[in-house]
Amino acid sequence: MYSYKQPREKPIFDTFTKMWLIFVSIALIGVLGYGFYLYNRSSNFSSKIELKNRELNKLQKSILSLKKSIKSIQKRRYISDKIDHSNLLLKNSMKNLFSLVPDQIVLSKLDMDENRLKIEGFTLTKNAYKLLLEPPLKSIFTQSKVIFKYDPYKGKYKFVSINHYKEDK
Amino acid sequence: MSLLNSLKKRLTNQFLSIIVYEEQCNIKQKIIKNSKMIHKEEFNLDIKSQDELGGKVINFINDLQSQYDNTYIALFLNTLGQGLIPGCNVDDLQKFNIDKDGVKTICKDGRFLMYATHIDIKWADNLFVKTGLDFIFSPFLVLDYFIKKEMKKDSFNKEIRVLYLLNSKNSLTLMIEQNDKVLYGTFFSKIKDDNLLHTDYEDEIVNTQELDELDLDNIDELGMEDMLNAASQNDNLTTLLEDDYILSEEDEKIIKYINSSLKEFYSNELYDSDFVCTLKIFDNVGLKEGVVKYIENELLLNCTVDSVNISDALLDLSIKEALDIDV
Repeated sequence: MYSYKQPREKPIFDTFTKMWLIFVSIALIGVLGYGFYLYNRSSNFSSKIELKNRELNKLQKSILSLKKSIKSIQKRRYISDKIDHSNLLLKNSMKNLFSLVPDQIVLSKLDMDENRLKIEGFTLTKNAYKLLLEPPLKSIFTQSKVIFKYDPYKGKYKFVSINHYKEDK
Repeated sequence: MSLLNSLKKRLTNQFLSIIVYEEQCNIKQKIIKNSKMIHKEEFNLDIKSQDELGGKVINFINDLQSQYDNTYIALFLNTLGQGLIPGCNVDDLQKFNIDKDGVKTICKDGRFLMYATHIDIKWADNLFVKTGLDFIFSPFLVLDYFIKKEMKKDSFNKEIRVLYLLNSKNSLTLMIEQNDKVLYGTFFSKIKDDNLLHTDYEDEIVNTQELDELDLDNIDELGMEDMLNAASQNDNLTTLLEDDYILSEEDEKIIKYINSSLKEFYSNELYDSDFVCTLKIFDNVGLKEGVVKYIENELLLNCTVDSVNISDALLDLSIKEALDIDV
């Protein structure tokens, strides 16, 4: 260097080009940054989707089991309803039955199931049974049979009445 | 860095050389692309004073600068506050009564040390504050550039002691060289001391307000006083000047300066002096033949004149500095 002064800085790029380069690089950084952000988010999404899928599977499984339990509960409910209903029916029919039994007749045994009623008891006369107990029984049951047997010790007729009820289908 | 440099060489670079005279500013433009010159033009613009370029010149330079991305502006330093000492030892400045803190020095190939005062460099910087400035070249560097060119000629004999003179429109630069060794160097401004030939030099110089303004506390620093005194004592010269040759005031000044320089060279013990018989003038002005004849006959110097262009030298120097190439 043989000059008394150092030359001015001579930038290869002028101010305009520099500004342009800075702008482009800022834009590039922005785009890349946004792209990276989006990529991150999408990968986040896919992991979330996987998680949700697993949850969905779990839920579906639990739905299935719930459905099963609902079914069993419904069955049980149906059964209990049925039982309840039949109990109610039984209660009512018992009530009815007992109200049907006149004073002349004494019941000794009552065997009852869903469609059948077996009554054992004593009556003073056959007619008392036939007039007072048989008609209502016949009106309730589709079939009503009775067998009498005289009990000389008691001076009463022992009877066994078997009644069937057939549901109309 | 080298990649950057090779890239720079491929780009278009504009070089401007500027020489500021009193009423004119010489601007030479050279456009280099791919290490080849593609355009060259010279402009001369009028200025009001040497201390202010003026809006017209500033605008002109800035217009030129705006045309190309890379512009290098080189200034030819032609102010008084500069000089040269032989050898490259900065401490030697003390011997020549120069305050080494007040000057900026540049060593050229270990052969000589150029110096310029910080004031002068600052002046140049201020002058170009609105345009920017890249290089400030010493006239000694320019003269050395021409000497180096001269040395490449086959006819050159380095054994001979030669006084080289660079004649510019407003300054004179002198160097004495032998065997590639610089023995002496001095710089004169043709304007700062207008009445040099007709007045008492000592008083004139010491009292010159302009010099005071430059803050050259002691004119001795430049080694001028002795020189000028020597010149003033040479009574014979004035009579000789009036003899056979019609010389202009300008020409007389040149002769006066050559004479006083030689006297200084011979008389000052600091210089390794011996008789100088050859004078080589690098002329940028157009010296009259009469002057050459006068020098040959009266100063007894074997004188040759080469016409040179300082602007071109400045451009070459700045291209070398900036791109490290020769175009």
